[in-house]
Amino acid sequence: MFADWTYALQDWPTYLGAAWLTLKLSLAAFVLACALGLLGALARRSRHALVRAPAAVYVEVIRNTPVLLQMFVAYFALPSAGLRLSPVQAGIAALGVNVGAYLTEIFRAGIQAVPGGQREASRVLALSPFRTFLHVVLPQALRNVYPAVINQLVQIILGSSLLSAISVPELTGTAMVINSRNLLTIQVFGIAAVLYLVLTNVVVLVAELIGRAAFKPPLRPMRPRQSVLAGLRSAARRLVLIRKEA
Amino acid sequence: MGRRRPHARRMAAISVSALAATSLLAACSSSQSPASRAQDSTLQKVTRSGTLRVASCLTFPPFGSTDKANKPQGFDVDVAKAMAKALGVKAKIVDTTSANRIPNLRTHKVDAVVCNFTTTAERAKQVAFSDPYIVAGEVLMVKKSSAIASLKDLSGKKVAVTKGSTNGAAVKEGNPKARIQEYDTSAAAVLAVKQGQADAMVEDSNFLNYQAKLDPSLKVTKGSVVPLEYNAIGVGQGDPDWLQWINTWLREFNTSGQSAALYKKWFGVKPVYPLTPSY
Repeated sequence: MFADWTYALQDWPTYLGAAWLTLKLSLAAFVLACALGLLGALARRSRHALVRAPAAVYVEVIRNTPVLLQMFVAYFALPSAGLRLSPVQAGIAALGVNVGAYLTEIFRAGIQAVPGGQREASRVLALSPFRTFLHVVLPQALRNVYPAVINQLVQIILGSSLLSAISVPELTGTAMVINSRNLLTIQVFGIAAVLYLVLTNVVVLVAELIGRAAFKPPLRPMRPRQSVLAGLRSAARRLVLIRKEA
Repeated sequence: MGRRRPHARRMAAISVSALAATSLLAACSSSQSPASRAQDSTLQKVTRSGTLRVASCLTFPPFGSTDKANKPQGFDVDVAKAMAKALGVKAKIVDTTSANRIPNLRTHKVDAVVCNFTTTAERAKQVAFSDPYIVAGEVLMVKKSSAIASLKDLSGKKVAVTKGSTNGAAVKEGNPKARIQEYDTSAAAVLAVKQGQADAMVEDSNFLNYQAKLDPSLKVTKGSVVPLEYNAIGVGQGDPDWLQWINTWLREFNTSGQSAALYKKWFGVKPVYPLTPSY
């Protein structure tokens, strides 16, 4: 039992390398998604139908097709159109474009939620529309949607597991390959699951710290802070209560 | 495709080992004369009943599948039909799976198994194998314009394999400079080569010949990256007359060119490897 775990852990450099690739390509996809989301949100709020329509089509097509299919298109179909992307490039593009559609709607909601009075006040102060957006609307909009945006980042990290289908050696795909070699299924996928948990929790923690530092007034943590020990204690207390009731 | 099977086969082998023990005891206790044994041979039973029951795997094209009218078709099915014709009886194809091949024989549900059955010493403990009728290797498939002909040419090239197959390791061993891409299915690996995302792929030679037949822009190289696998007809143990007949028929089937013609029909090329191993 214990020997199985130590045997499965012999491949630790491979796991760590795969987790590192997962993190790198997820962050790259997130940057692309944010750029697309912001552009999309602006386009969807445009006065001109010719600008609004492509953004609407983008959101509807991408949100209503599976991301795995989009990965296949980016990797297997685009070469027919003369665009050849490496597995990692295709993966970043597919994930970025996919989450960009969701972020379009999230950013749009955030921008719409900024009270109209803010814009009116900016006009009174003779700020140009561009400066109004940059200094007044955008910071407040981002503050509104920051937790939702970080959720999308977690979605990207988890969604990157599908990239193993186009031969990207990320964490899940690597775990599958190691598993087919040593057949220690529970150990191998257990290690992968722990690495995903570490990856997402570290990313969320860093994002929370950034959120607290970047916004004025600071963004409150997404959930009440509780030490791990206190959390366990309260969970145990709840369990005892349930037992008593039963 | 073959790589997922040995495990299942072993499971099946374990499950029938108890049966094996009982039948062995029965064989020891009865002392029959050669004449009566010949009477009891499957050969006699088949000719008397007028039907040859053959187990084939109908979910593994082009070896076995069903046509639009839901009738069995494929290379293995045609081999079974040729065998029945030589016996002067009708062939009854029984659909089976890799894991059920040995149990089917041990419980006398069928007279023979013609289903991509690779001969191994392990399996021969449970069933009797005829001489081989088809040979498989693991070969490279590349674009027709490609200059890749062997593992040596793969330095720095992208090579598609399937996750869990032994081919990835075989390629790395043969040429450490090859860049391995691991896909979930053989179909995805084929697509990667077709779309130029991979320079070559490694798979079962007969499967790849079939793919190359479907898509003329692809070609298959000759050298196998692993030892060749010999597929044979499986029959129950303890029936030398029946096995003897099958081997005699197979020799005719092979030397007359029927075998090569069938191979050409289903795989689009002439058989790649000789049926007799050369060491």
